[in-house]
Amino acid sequence: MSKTGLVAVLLGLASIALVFVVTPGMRDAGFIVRAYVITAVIVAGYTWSLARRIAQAEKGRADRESVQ
Amino acid sequence: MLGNIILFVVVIALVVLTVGYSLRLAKMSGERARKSGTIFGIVAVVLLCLGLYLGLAWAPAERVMGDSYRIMYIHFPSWVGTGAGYLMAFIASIMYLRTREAGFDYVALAGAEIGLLFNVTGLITGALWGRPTWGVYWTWDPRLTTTAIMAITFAGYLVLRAFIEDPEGRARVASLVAIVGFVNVPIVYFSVRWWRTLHQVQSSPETVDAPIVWPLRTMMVAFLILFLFLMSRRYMLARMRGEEELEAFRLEVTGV
Repeated sequence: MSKTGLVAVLLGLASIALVFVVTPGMRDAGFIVRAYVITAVIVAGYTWSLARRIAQAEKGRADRESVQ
Repeated sequence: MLGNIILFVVVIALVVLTVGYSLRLAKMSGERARKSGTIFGIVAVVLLCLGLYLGLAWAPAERVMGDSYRIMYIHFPSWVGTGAGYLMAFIASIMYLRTREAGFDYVALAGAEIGLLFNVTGLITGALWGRPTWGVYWTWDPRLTTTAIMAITFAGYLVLRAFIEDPEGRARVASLVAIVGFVNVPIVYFSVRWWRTLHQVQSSPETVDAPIVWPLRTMMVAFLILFLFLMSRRYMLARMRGEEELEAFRLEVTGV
């Protein structure tokens, strides 16, 4: 996994952990948890996927250059 | 008075940074985009950590809504990312049609895709805030409806790009779609003033207490910087794929 993908996943997990730690006892905690978890998953997932696609494209380019 | 002037200057500076950096990306090499994007990435991580702590742990509960208003700390910044993304798709598309430089097409693609990402998180977080506040996840309110249309339009923009093989033809058609699609953005913004239905009008910072507004400002800046980081990375990917496509096209035509 690339450095960017790793940071995105760790930050997403950290934000999910924070939400689960601070929301118990809050009014409408379920909605707050769902909103933050879904957003963290979408943004971290997209960033991770972007980093993976860049790594694949870079590898493809390096392979083509080595063939030439 | 001084606070408002400072706020205005900061907002203008952020808009100039967003538009200026995104348009400069079109002329940048992949390596320069990576280096500048990494700086934005580091700043975004720091601001996101700070904003999440302020919004979830430091800010007090709101008098009427209780704690559900904390969803606003990701809902409203999502719209900042959406607006920035679609604005960049619009400006870069105009620039592409004027100059025919592929770099602007890559910037437009990056803006549309990241704008749609934040559009989706904005819609989901809005529904999750609406249920405890309005009693419904979704209603065909003009603001919600125009926002959904905006998401469908830019999803269509991305699908359209996937169906056209000729790079120049694709960039030309996609630019037109992005320009026409952007017409909906001001309609979304003003919809709450033109049709006074369920969705409330925009809040003024003067009507929100400082302990509630500062986490919001932190998260807005964090999402904007995160947007710039994602722009740099998506641009890099679009550029690499574009160069790969041109190389394949050259080989096909010349056979060299």
